[in-house]
Amino acid sequence: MSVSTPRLQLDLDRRSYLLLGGALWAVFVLSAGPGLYTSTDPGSGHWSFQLFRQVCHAIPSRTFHLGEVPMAVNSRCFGVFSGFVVAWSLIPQLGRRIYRRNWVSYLFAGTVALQFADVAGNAAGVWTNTLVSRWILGSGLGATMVLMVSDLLHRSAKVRSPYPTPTDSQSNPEDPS
Amino acid sequence: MTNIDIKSAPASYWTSIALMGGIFSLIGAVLSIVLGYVQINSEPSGSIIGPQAIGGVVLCLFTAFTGLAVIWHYATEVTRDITMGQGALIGFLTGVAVTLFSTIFSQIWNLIDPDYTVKVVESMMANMEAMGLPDEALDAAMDQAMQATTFSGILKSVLISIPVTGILNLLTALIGVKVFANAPQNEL
Repeated sequence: MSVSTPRLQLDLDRRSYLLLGGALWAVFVLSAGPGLYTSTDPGSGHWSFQLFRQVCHAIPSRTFHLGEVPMAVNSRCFGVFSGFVVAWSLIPQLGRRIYRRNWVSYLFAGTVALQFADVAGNAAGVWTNTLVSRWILGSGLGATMVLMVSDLLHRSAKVRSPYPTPTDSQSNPEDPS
Repeated sequence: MTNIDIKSAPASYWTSIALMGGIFSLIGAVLSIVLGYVQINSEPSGSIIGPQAIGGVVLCLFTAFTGLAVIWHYATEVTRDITMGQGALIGFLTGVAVTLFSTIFSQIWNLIDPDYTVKVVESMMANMEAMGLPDEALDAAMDQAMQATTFSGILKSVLISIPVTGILNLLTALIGVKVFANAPQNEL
């Protein structure tokens, strides 16, 4: 005797998805700084550096450069923003696999802890982090931040097969679902 | 006896924004000022990574994750029924509040110690000189630093940094909604 298991159906809130995604893409592109359109460094007073003044120290030696021009944020922050847009693009595909899964929260907590561990280990001289290593760790944090909010973008329903099995009707005949 | 159905008005989130935004901005401002004095009193090392820059690693976390703290406070003190839209709005407004509070606190300190900003700029310039930067670069950096201390420079800086701070706090506030609010009744 077969049992039809309820299947999770997810519906993406497209308006919120596109609106927030647009904002995150804008942050990502702007974080690349003036090197996107000029080959000479306009200095730290440029508006693109001022945009991120509150959230990133943007020390040139800890920042990727486009040509001769430093990005508007350091490599870790650029990693965070890269993680934002990559994970955001994957939300429609990942939906069911990450919906209300506890491991996403643990992954987020883990990536936050990794940032502190990396900064502490580097400051204590245990290891020396690099532009790329900071970018990779930042990407992990950005991606898991986005995966954390993915649930909020979905509406859900448990749907059964349209062809009820005998087990379904015996177990709860009044339940139309 | 008549039963009267009293619907309470939706509780305001402004208290949570003002309280947590104020606390986080104050901690950030104090930390920044303390590190500024460390910078002033240290010898020019020729390294661009000074005490203020190292402190920036911590300050950015304070700034970006205030949205999470505001949602925690709102969910604890007011209601756990927070929608995604409310969380996003609260987060963005938190970013605005943090930017304004941080600027106000640092300007208050400039009233207490009017020489503070000039000393920090001079210390940074001495450090840059020790790095062997050309005079033109030093002059440009000095001009930019002094321009940032004028009223128009401060206003411009505040307005221009609000969008990014707002969006980041929006995202962390949504994480707060996921963690601290009731699971949304969003069945199809």
